Amino acid sequence: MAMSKYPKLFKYIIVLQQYWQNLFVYRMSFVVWRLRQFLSSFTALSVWSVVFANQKTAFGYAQDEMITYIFLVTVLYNIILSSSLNALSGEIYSGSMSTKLVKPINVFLSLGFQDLAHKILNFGFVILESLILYFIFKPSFIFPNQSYELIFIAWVALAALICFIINLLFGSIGFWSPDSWGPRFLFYIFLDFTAGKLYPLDILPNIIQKIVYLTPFPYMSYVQIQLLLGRLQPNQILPITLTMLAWTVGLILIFKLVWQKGLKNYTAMGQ
Amino acid sequence: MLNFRFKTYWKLFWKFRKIHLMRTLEYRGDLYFWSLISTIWTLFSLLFFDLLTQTGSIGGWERHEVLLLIGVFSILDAFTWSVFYHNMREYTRAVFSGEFNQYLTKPINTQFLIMTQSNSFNNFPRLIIGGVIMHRSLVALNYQPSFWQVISFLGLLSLAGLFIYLVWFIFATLAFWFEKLDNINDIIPSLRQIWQVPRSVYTGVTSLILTIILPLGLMTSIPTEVLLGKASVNWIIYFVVITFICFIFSQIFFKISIKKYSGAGN
Amino acid sequence: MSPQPIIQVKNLRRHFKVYQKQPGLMGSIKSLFKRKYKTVKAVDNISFEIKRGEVVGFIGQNGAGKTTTLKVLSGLLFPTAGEVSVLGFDPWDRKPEFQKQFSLIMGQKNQLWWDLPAMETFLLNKAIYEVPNDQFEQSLNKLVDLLQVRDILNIQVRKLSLGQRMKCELIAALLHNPQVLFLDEPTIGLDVVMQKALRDFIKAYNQEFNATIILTSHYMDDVKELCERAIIIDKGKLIFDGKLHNIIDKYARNKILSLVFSQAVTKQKLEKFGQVKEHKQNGSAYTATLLVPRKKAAAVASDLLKELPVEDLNIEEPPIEAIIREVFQSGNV
Repeated sequence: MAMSKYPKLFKYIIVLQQYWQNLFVYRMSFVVWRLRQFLSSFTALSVWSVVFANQKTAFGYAQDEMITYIFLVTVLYNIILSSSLNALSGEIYSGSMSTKLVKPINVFLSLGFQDLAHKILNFGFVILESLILYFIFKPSFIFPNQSYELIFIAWVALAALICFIINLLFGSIGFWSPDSWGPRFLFYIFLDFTAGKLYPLDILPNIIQKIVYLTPFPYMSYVQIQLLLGRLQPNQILPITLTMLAWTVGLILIFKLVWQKGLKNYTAMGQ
Repeated sequence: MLNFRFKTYWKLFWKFRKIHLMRTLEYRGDLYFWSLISTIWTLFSLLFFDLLTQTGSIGGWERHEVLLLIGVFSILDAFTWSVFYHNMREYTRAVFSGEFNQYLTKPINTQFLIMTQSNSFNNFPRLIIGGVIMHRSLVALNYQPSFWQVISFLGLLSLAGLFIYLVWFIFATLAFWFEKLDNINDIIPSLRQIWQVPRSVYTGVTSLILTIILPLGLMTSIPTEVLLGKASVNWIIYFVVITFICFIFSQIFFKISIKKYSGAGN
Repeated sequence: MSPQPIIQVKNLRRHFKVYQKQPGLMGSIKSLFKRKYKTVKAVDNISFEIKRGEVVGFIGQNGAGKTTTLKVLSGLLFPTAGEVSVLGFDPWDRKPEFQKQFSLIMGQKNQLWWDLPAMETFLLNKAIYEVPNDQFEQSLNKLVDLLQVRDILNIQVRKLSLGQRMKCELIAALLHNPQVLFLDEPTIGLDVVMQKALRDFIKAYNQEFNATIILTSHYMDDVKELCERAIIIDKGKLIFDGKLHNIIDKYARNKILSLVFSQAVTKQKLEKFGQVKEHKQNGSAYTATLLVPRKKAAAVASDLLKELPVEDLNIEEPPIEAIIREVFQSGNV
């Protein structure tokens, strides 16, 4: 039984390998993506360093704490939110997806592995970038005594899953229109300001925070880092976990509906 | 003779604008959508910096000075998105697909074609919003810039635009050297994060890199400082000189790149 | 004294560096550090002269160097060696005075703005080429009448059919009345009707304006219809320059008849009609290929249809590769 599983997995490893290989050809485009992320964190850190030049604390954070926060959120954000599915809608619309649907390889597993490969690659680079940022900003890290490793890992996995499904949803737009660029752009704009990448969400006024928590954005890296930094109350852990699960399940259900509808539409058009 | 050619370029410039206006009106939905997006983005940035400066100044820039900078940034950014982005994208696309041949065989200066043939109107609201932000910030600062300060401001803002264009152009010209570089055009938009903040945010080595070696950090700060009467002459001179050097380099690089160009495919 | 040739090419050479990559992941990694280059001689010592009003065909296989030569003549590529002169200009200088006098039309490349009526592109080109109003009106009318597109000028290009679009592309490219035309694979991707329409138009344009035209193609038919003179380029070298009918009579002697029969037909029976190149049976399909002298092809075809149980019959030109091979093998003519 175990032996028959091995060749199956091998298929997906090839997917990983081909992905990295293609990336070498497209090395410049990947570099540009990394540059963008790097600059975003860089400017955030620059601004925050200057903010603390005149004051010891701001918004309930000391300089060390803020810098640590930005550093950690940068690493996590880049892992969770890196996606290789940007071209998906185009592939679906043009019909090149149909060959993948016909091959004896589970589409979602294949895409999942592709995404995983992408995240691993991004992880490698973000560590490198963080080293550079470390030498520029020379932060002193603060780690709390008690950390919830298991919950952290679970939350990271859930966040990655949520992100994956959202990207699949954007990809599904391809069943109806070649361009998912518009909605995705809007999504990333909101994400920029609500995922806690540039600043911790608790500096926002309460009203705005309440609105932001209605979206899945705070759960994409913010809550995980706050957990790690010991800035969450123990009684918040369960509600957050449940909310994340709810988002995950809800999005999966929505996606299933959309995907099935899309497939019907797809085959009807003879793609 | 020179006069006659100027007329040609002038006419051609407006012909392109008319064409793009017609195309924009064809796709009104796009226009509304992107206008909305760019407006949302501007407001978010405004909120963020407003929030940030509640606690004090950023690098010696008081709250309304920072907001003034945001206004200046919006105007500059609206311009770079409306003009440079689309032209550079068309430029790189033409180089990759081989359609760049059409630029080279027309009896019009190639760089003029590259620079003016495209534009969008989607960021127009940001011009207005930027202007409003500037006005309100100046009022809040109780500051009335003099006529010459306004002139210098406009001059330096144009120079900033030129510098950004040149850097962008140089990057886009790399399309002649690397294949499959569709993202080359997105490097510069990510760089604009650098001039979204006052230049005093950058210290130490980064200050050296971002305000001297590749002075992207100066783009919005110098014009704003000039408007506020706070600019130092040294920086202004440096700004002008570096733009000039960039211009010379871009011309040389372009000429070399054209020579290398082999026309992709057929 | 004979008039100066419009186009002069002397010992033109154009070489390219092509980068080679090994397959696989290791190949990709290696390519980050070291790249292997190979020099390709796209054009290897070509010389010719073309006089005003001539219509010359460049024939050759794909990659033979035809397009490269055209690009050099239009100023898009600079020669690795040799001299080029068109209308007295060095194309590489790309002087506006020169550019206003020629037009390069490459395959189906578009310059029409997709979402706007073709007329807008015409007006744009009018501005680019500085065409005076009256000349513009005149040229436009002539071209529009020649191509019969008067009623579609104000319809958005994306709503036009492929044929209509092609005609508008031509007008856009010729509005400024170029004296010299470089046409690169103009009929590629077009159906038979459009190919004919295009050829008729080119002929008319040449006669109307006494324009000098160079046409590249790998279809013999294009060149046959339009060009008295042909230049054959193979692997970057010029292997023939002269009257086209010389080549055809001498080297493209035969036409190829492809036949499908409903019943088996013996080889001997077929040999009555021509040289049998192929004679096969694939299950219930009986096929054969015959070589028949060019002049007799039509007559032989009708005989075959009368005497044998023919299901399908196709008459084709020998592929250009075969003709070139023959020319090449027999040396320069």
